[in-house]
Amino acid sequence: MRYVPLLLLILLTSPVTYAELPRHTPNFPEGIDLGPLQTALESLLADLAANLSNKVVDYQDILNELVNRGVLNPEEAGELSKIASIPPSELAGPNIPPEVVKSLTSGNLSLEELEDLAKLLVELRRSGVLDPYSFLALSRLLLGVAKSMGVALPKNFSTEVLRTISEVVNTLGTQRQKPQLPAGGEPWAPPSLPKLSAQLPSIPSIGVVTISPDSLVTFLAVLASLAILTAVVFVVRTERIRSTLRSLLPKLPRGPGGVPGNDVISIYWSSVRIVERVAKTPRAEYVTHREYLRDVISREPGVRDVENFIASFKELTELYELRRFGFVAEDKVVGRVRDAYIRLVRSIG
Amino acid sequence: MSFIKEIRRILIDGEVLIEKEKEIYMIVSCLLARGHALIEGVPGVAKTYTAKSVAKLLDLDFRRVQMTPDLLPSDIIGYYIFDQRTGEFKLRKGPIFTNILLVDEVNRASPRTQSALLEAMQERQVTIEGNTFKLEEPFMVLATQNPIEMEGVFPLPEAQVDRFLAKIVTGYTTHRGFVEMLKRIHEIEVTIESLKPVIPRDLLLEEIARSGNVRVDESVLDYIASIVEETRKHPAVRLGGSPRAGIAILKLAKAWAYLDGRNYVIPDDVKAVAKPALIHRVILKPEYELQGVTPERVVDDVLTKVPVPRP
Repeated sequence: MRYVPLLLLILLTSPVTYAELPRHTPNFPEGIDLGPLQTALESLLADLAANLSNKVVDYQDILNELVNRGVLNPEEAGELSKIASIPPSELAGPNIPPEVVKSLTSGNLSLEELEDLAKLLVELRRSGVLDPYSFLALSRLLLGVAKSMGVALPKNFSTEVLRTISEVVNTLGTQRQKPQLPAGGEPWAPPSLPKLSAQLPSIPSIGVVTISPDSLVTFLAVLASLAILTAVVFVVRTERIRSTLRSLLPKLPRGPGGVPGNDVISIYWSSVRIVERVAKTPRAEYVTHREYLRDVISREPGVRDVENFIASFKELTELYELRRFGFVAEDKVVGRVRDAYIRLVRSIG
Repeated sequence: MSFIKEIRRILIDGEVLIEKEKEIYMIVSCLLARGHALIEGVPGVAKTYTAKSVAKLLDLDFRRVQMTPDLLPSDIIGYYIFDQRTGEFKLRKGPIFTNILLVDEVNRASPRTQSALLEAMQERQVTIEGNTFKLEEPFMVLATQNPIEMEGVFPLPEAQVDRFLAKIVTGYTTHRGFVEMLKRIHEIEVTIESLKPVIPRDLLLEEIARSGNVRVDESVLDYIASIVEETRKHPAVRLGGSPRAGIAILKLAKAWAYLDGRNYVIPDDVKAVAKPALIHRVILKPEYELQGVTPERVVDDVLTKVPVPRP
């Protein structure tokens, strides 16, 4: 015990290497890592994708298949169906070429064009240009056209659809049903630890220290406390773990534009997607952040609390500019950005 | 930086210069960016009043030269004159030895006089009979030209026009602004004569130095470069923006951001200054000019093609 303060001192003064974070975080949040559960789900989805790739199915068929296999409950399937039913008129935006939506709604596509579109959608989704909701909505249209033509889509498309479904399901607030896993037990269950035997042999004394079974338990408890303390020190001191802590923060509300990430840049862009849909004001690529704000203000969006909606979006724009162009550290503004985002979503009604 | 608020309060809110806000901001931006401005406008649209008012409020020496075809370089930069009393040659400095020089109708002067002036603008020094004299800082030339007249003028060659950091196009006021100006013309004239400096010269020099420290994100630099490159690709353009045009946008955008109270540039600053920095550097193909395409329209078109930095 007398060495504990010394050990603590060493831990506190030891140099810590800070993980270098990217200057600009990507537009969309990365896939949510659920550890073993995610791995199990992934293997199940891969199996499903292999089956679905040879069949002519539409979006609803995929949802039904997932319900049948117990991956989704009917409530979740209903929610996913609603999510993918965004009207085509609302889909065209700065990230989605209007030609894509037009081709999909018209249904006049050759086999080659259909495959090209499937490839394009997968690429747009993987590069983060398409958010999960828009991707699912476009996939629903594409699968509908494919089914009407009697064509099965490539495996990588089915995989992407299933992966996105998994991502969206993870962010839904509904009660998840445990997926039916392949034989082999539950891979996410913690390994059972051998119990400490009560009949531990007494440890012979070494010098002045004698450890009895009772003091061994105390010693282990101290070690465990030390481990927790060390973890706390690292949590406080390392940037990587700090970001993990941030990811454990309560999730931001899901607006009509999707689920935002935890950094200023992605929260702002999520708010833009919300505003695009709610205020029916698509944002062109050449429009600056302030120009878009002015545009939205002039349109007088039809939301419950217009004043708060505008004020929140204005604050989000200003803070985004500070972070993006003003060289201001993430932690200086992220709290205010989250607050403004929550106010924005609430003001919609 | 609060000096711009004071200028705004006196000249714009006080309606001394009606509907000249952009022109005032652009002149001050040029001054902060250590550049010169070419003001284009028909006679009688308060070009001189604008320049004079800004100079007075900034505690700067102001001179005006009316260019004519018989004006000599020495009439601008100065010359040595023999003093019979002392028996020595004495320097008589020209009007260029000032802080703000308003060169009225710059395109009326002969090419020889124009180039002497433009050389002084570039080097910020003049050489008179082998002796070099540094011009006092800040130094800015505000040259005006009338876009209508074609007789008896010597249009500035492209290489010389490129020396101007910005071209400020000023025009008539709205009907309401015009009536307001007519109502208060006497008051306006008296106010301009009695304007007092809002910032001492030494502090202004500090502001100029500070505005150069405004930071620019790499994505904004990329945006500027894309805009300039896009002018070269435009179908109506014979000669697009040069690298100097990109530097001009950058300098002006930094000054513009500084005047807005920021120490960083945002894409809006670039858009605000792109037109003044580019329109005199973009040369159109004759067939498009005949169709009525203007450099302003080309720059507008370019700005709607180049995406702003994302995400």
